[in-house]
Amino acid sequence: MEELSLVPSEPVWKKVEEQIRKKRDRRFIYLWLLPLVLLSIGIIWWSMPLNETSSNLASEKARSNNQDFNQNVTSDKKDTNTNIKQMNVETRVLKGEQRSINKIAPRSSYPTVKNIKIKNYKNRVNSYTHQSIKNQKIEKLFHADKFILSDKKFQDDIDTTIDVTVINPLDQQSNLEKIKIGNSNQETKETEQNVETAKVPQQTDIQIPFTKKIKKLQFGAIAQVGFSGITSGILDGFGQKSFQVFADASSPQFGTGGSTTLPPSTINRGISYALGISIQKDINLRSNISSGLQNQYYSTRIIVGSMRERDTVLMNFSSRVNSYYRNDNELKEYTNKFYFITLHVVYNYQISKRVPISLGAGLSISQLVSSNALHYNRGANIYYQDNELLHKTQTGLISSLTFELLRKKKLTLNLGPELNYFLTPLLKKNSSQRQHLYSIGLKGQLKF
Amino acid sequence: MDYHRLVKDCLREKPAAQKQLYDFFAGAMLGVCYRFTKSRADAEDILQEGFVKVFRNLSQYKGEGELGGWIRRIMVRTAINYLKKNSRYQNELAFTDEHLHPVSNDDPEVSMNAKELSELIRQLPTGYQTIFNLHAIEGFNHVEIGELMGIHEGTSRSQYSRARGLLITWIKTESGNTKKDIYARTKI
Repeated sequence: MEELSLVPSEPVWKKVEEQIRKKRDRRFIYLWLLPLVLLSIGIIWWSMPLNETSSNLASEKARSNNQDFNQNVTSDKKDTNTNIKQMNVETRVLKGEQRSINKIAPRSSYPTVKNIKIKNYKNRVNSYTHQSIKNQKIEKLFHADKFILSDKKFQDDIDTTIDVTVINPLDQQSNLEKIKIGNSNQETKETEQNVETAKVPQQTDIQIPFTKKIKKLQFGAIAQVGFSGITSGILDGFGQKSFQVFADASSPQFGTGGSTTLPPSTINRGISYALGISIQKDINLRSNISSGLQNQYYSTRIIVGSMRERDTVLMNFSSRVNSYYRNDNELKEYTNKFYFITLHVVYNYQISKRVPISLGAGLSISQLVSSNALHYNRGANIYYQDNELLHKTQTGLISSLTFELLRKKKLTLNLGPELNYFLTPLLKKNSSQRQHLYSIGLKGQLKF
Repeated sequence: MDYHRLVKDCLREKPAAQKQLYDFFAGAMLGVCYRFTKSRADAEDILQEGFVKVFRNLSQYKGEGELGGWIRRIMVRTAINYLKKNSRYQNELAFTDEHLHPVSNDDPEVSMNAKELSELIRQLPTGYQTIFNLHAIEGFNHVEIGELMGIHEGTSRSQYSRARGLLITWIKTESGNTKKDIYARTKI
């Protein structure tokens, strides 16, 4: 028996397409979500202080180091040239800021201080500023969590003292001991005396200075590249949509499939880019507000038919157009282009003090400068251009995630994804679906 | 047509390939769905649901056997589920002993085209219609039908026989009428 075959109506494929696209859109969101979740976990992990297990391990290490230290101090009583292998110390700078460090200090000849290498394990310090301790400059070389206290000045003025408080993990109540390091002739006695007698009551809270300075104003250049498209709402996601092309809502048959004519084209995503300048003002160390002026380009792609000059009177179409595209079988791609001038204001907040990643949210107002977007008229079954149907002033939302990639003196380079979504519908008249322009892309900002 | 390449492109979610696959099979599959339902709108609903399943599960098609056959099986199962879910068909799918009647096995000596026969099948009660479609047209055996419909194998046999008997009676009756009369009872 021959196979029964029927021709399904047009909406069936539209619905099928819509549903299979939905799935892809969801997957698209998940693809973004996964790295964001991983990134968030990483940031939280990075921001958190060391956990209890690490502390215990550190205590164990400190305990063994302290034993070494005690042995070494005992040796120092007999022979001042005995090296102190390792010490966990808490340095307290008398004049200047306080910082918490663990120190491993190999020393070739005690008490003549050649150099002191201090490793910072417990706190990841981004940078340090020069400190002055009783006319002594300590040069800090920040490299891989390590800085070195240069010793030259110590030799020049050997009488200068540095107070070093020693953590004794075995005794929580009086776990700080004070060591005075000074003149080689005096030091044996002083060391002995201080190690045995000096007690510092309690360790005070120690804060690590963050050297990022609040800048009054910072200028910058912005560049963004990505893709743009049309969505019916921000909650509907930003995947590939099967919108019909900007239809003239006055057309009575809009949106209904016809058996004799091709349905209107769907709108596909196109390229977007933006170039502009910005100005930024820091509110505090972690947040800033930036504003800027950008020239934005959005595009979408549709399929149209053959182009015609208007040399005949079209049925059901009274608008004046110079040329139009037929909706026939001569299929070719057409790019709807939109050029905007945009003014934006964005608030950025750095998620963590130590990780230079910021979340941004803001508003924009855009003015359509030019467009070649086509509209569809079902009555005449043509695509035509009429910018009067578009809302020329658009307000928008901006959301971004920014990574500070480079910071050199006055130059800062930021990079990260940014979403621009126009709250104002693209079309003035109501069509079957609200259509909003959006763009998702990678934004780079060079601040100077 | 190079089905292998078409499937590959569909798996890469190329819209053009998806449309091509749909265009190629939609007509025949709508015919399959149409035979199971009482209205074209229902048939299109099943077709839509079925094609969504096809595209979502295309990765499970290993290239063994005809792609059309694989899609057809999905359509049939979708149709059965649709009938089970849809309240309009639910009552008619409740098989009871009152439907079990012995029927004649005489074959009608009339020739009909696919559309005419489909129209007659669609006039059967939904239960008969479904089982007749599954057994006589889709080639399921009664054990498979029993599993698919959640009924006893014997019930399936009886329903089929009854459906067949009804069809024979109608065909004999209709043989004197014109084809127009057949179409007049249902509109496609």
